[in-house]
Order: sequence, then C-alpha cells, then structure tokens
Amino acid sequence: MSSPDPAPEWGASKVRLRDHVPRPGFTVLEVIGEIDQAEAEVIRLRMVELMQQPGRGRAVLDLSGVGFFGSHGLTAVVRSSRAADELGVPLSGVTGPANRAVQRPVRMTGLDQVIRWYPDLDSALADGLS
Amino acid sequence: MTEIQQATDERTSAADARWAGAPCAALTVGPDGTVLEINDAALLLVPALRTGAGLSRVAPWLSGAHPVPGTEPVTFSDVVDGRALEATPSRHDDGSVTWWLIDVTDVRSVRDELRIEQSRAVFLSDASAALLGSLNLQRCMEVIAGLAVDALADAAVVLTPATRRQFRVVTAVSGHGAPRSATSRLDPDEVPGLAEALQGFPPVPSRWIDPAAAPSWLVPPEIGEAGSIVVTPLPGHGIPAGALVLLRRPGSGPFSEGEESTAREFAARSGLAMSAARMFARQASITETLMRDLLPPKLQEIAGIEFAGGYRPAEDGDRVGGDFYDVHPCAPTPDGAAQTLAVLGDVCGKGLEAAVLTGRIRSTLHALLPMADDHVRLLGLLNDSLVSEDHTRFVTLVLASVTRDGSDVRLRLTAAGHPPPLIVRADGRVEEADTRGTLVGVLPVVEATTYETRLAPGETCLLYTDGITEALGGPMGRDQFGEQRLQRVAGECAGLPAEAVVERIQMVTTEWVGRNAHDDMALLAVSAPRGRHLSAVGGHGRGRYTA
Repeated sequence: MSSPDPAPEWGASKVRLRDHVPRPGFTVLEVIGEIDQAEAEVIRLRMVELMQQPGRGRAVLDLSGVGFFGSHGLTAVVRSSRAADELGVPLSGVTGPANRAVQRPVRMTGLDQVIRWYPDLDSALADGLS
Repeated sequence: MTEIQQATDERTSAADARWAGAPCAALTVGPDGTVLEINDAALLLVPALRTGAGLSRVAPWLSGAHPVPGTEPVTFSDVVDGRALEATPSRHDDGSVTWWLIDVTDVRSVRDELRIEQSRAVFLSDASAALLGSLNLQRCMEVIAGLAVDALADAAVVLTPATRRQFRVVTAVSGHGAPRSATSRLDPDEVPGLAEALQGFPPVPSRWIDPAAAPSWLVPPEIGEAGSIVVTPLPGHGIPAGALVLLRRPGSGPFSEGEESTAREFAARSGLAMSAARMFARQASITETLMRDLLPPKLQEIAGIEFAGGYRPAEDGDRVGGDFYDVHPCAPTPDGAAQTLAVLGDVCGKGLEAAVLTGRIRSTLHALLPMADDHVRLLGLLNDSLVSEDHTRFVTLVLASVTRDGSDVRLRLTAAGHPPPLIVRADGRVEEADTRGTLVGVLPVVEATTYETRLAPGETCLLYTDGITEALGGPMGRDQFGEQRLQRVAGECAGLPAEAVVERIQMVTTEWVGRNAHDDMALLAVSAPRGRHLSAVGGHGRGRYTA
C-alpha cells in the first residue's frame, strides 16, 4: 500500500519538521537539523497536534536527521512524552543507526527510560506492529 | 418732466435704496476727503459717520489710508471701538473712493484661538514625547520643570514627597540654566492649594493665590518676587505623584484661563510620567532584591580547597538564567574531615522563568544538605519534589563532595543527566569522570552512579553545563565549541589555580561565540592548591612544600 504524500516541511531556520504516515496507524514526525529552545517548543506543539488527530494510532519522533541534540532536545522529548501520556498515545523515538549525536545524550540522561528508542524507523514500525 | 428723465430718476432712487440696504458696510468719500454717501450697514458699524463731514473728523483711522489724488488706495485694517475692521477701496472715475468695511473681529478671534490651540497641542505633544524619554524619577522631574519654564512660566517648582515630612524639590528658572534639586523639610500649608494638590485635589484658581504671601522657599531668588502663581496637582496611578507650581514675574501678566487649562493638562501627563518612573524604580528595587538571591554566589577557598565559578546568561541583558552553581559546607566526614558539597546544574528553559525554578531547586538542595553523604538519595528526594509539582520541568546536575586529605583532595562525583566532570591532571592529561545518571524531575526514580577520585596539588576538577560545549561559533559561526575543544583548553590550564582555569575557559568560549546567540554557560572549578614553598633556614637546603 502506497503511503500518502508527505506533508509540507515547516519549522524554523535550524530545524525542519516533516510529518508523514508511512503505514496506517503510525504518525511520524521527522526532525532534521539542530534543536534549540525555540524549536523544542515547535516540536512539542507539532507532536501534540499530530497526536490529537483522529485515527492517530502510534506516534514516532524520528531524530535520525538531528546533528545536534542538547538540553533543548531533551526538553522537546520530555514534553512530547508528557503530552503523549496525557493523550494516551504510545510514543517512541528513532535515534538513527549510527547517530552518536542523539544516541549518547539519550543514554547519558536516561531518556531511554522515558520513551522507547529504536536505531531506525523500520524497526520502530516493525516493533509497533508486533 | 420727460418720460426718459422720470425713468432715470426712478432707476437712481432704486439704486440708492439698494445701496442703502446693502448688507456690506460701505461709504463713498470724495476726492477732497468729504464723506459723500453712507449706507445703513456702515452706520451700524461706525455710528460716528456723517455725510458732508470730513473723513478725518468722523473716521480718522480711515483718513490715513485714504489716497491723495494720484495714488492708489490699498486695503487697510484697524481696531475701532474694540472691533477689528478691514477696509477695501474701489476707485471711481470722478476721483471718489468707496470703502467697503468688513467686521473681522470674530474671524480674527477664531484664528487667534486656533493658533493658540495649535501651539498648545504642539507643546503638549512635545511634552509627552520628552516625558516618555526617562524612567528615572529625578530626571523626569527635571524635564517637567524645564518644559514648564520653556512654555508656561518664568519659574517652575516640582514637588514630590520623599519621606513623611521631607519633599524632593526641583526648581527651574527661565534663562538660568539647568533645573536644580534639593530634598528639604517644608510646610505645604504655607502655599494656598499646595497641600490639597499634593493630595490630588483639583487646583485652586490662580487669582485666589496671593503671590506676596508665597514663602521664600517657593520663589526662586532669580525672579525676585512672584507676580502670579498657579498650583496644580500631578496626578499619578492611584496615588498623587506630587504638585507643580508655576510662577510669573510681576511684569509678565497673570495666567489666563487657557494657560491654567494647559498647565492642568501638562500636569496630568507629567504626573503619569512621574508615577511610571516611581513604579519602575520600585520594581527595579524589588527585582534587584530578588535577583540577589538568584545570582550565583561569590566563591572562595574553603578548608584550603580552591573553588571558582563563572556564569554567563543566555541573554546579554539578563543576569540570571537556568544554569547555576553552589558550594555548601556540610557536616564533617566520620573521620572528622571538613566536607563541602559543590553543585552545578542546568534547569530546562532560559531567562527568568528558568531562574525562578533554579531558585527553588537551590533552596531544596540547601535543605537536603544533611543527606549530602548519599548523592543518590539526595537526588531522589530532589526528584520527588520536582516530579510531584510539575510534569515538564526538569534539571540536570552534578554533585561533588569535596574533602581535604592531607595535601590531596578527595572527590565523589555524581552526574544526573549532565555532562560528566573533567579532571585536569598536573601533567595536562584530561580525564572524563565515569559517572552517569538520569535527568531529575522526569522519571519516578533517579538512577545514578558515583565516581570517586583524588586531586593531587595543582590538579583541578571542572564541572560545566552544556551551554559551553554547545556554543556555536568559530570562523563561520556554525561550529559547536564541543567537548574535545573544551578538554584541550582545560588541559592547557594544568597547574593553574581554579580561578585562572575558569577565566581562561570563559575567555576562549566568549571569543568562540563572538556575537552569536548562546545558551546559559556555567563553570565550576575545584582545585587542590599547590603547596607553598618554604625556603630552608638560612637560605640553604632544598626547602619543602607545605600543604
């Protein structure tokens, strides 16, 4: 089954956001670039918007395109996770297969206990179906 | 009489009747200056006019403008019996001139009023702009006094209560330089209407105030004595801001009703400006007081161990933000050694909002000092306090328990979601402390590992926030300062005192960032001081180092 056309990219200068539905029951927000304070809030708001859509199923925050993930990135994930809990939507994350820029801080700060992380989008989708 | 003659006479009398009843005042004057004809409107306007009389006798004001033969008459105006008249001439072939008279009193009056109103509006507009220029109360009062003498009076006095019995007084005198200020005890009851004005009551009319009775403290010596005085309140936000007193010299004439009205409007704007300045000063004072508690502490040597901190908030205008550090003396260790807890943390967010949470976290940590021996327990209690009150607020931090052990320093380090501290060895090697832990305020339970190490004399432990490693700069302004660069700079500081290490890293990161925006940056250095060299007695021998 072919996936719908991806939504237009939107966001600020240092980060691009793209949401798409790779298969029914999954909504993915792909983040590309560097997350600073302003973008952290944009990501949270966009995640909330996506998780509130009808037939939302599961949500995936894909950070494999993030080259720099500091304290504001942590903020974006923590706040998105809180919103997911409140809306009752399962949320998982994607670090990228060899993306130390995200993997290291996720492991170092205990974010891997806040939401479930996967090395790539395919494994996140596969695990979500099982 | 022929029919033609009769018709001509009838036309002439009809013309005379029309002339006589014309609404515009007119009189015809012969070449010799005799009044030949006057219509009804002219008689109403100038009752002294008579036909057959010389113009110089019945209308001397017009005879000066009446042309002598061979010259052209010109339009002329004058004030006659309190009325402004405009006379426009028409010359006839027989040498006579008809003067058309128009009463322009009302037009002139309206024009004058309009001009006064325009200049008043310009003054009030300029005054508003000038008053907006300062949120300093003293400067604001000086501007008010200066504007008042520029446009309204020969001297102006602005008063505002300073304490219960004292008043801040600013006086300006036209042509005598900048306004002068004083704070003095004075009795407002000595000036009619002043005590009331200071309480915000409406002003008393100027004519009720006897200038001769004005006290010496009110009348500036430069104007000698006062000819007339206006006292008007300066209304503020809720409470009166003060009072404005305008003074004129005896020769300057009394204040008109319009001028008093302008003074009241000016005072209303001035009062609001003063009130805003006072409120700003109060807010600034409150902010300063609160800020003092939020600012990072001044660090010094404790129990022979050097502590130094550096902090640079994200916004250049801010003095506080989400990064913080503290150094607390704690209960001694079981073996009696003095123990200190150093904390460095990063609260999510920036600016004042983050600073408020930072203040709460610092207070909580201070209350938890009795648990300083057990870092994980302390972090757990801090975590509980954050998790219970807010679901989106968290902090990353490093705890360092520091104890003197002979010439060395014993360290226990625990990072919770925070970059691990760096240990700068005496030979320039830089080690990363092997401590990891989860964010505080997110998960129900904090997990963390504590790392123990020792610092030999001259070695330093460096705690830092990610604002330093994440700072964007460099040649293109797009590269992160990064951990490797930080480690290299730290290694170059081997053997330096704690304060020098902090200064060096701050200098390098500031250069790196340049004018780029950056996050809060905080550093805390703990150093085991180098021993001080004592020369041998008499200058012989190798001497020794003391701890």
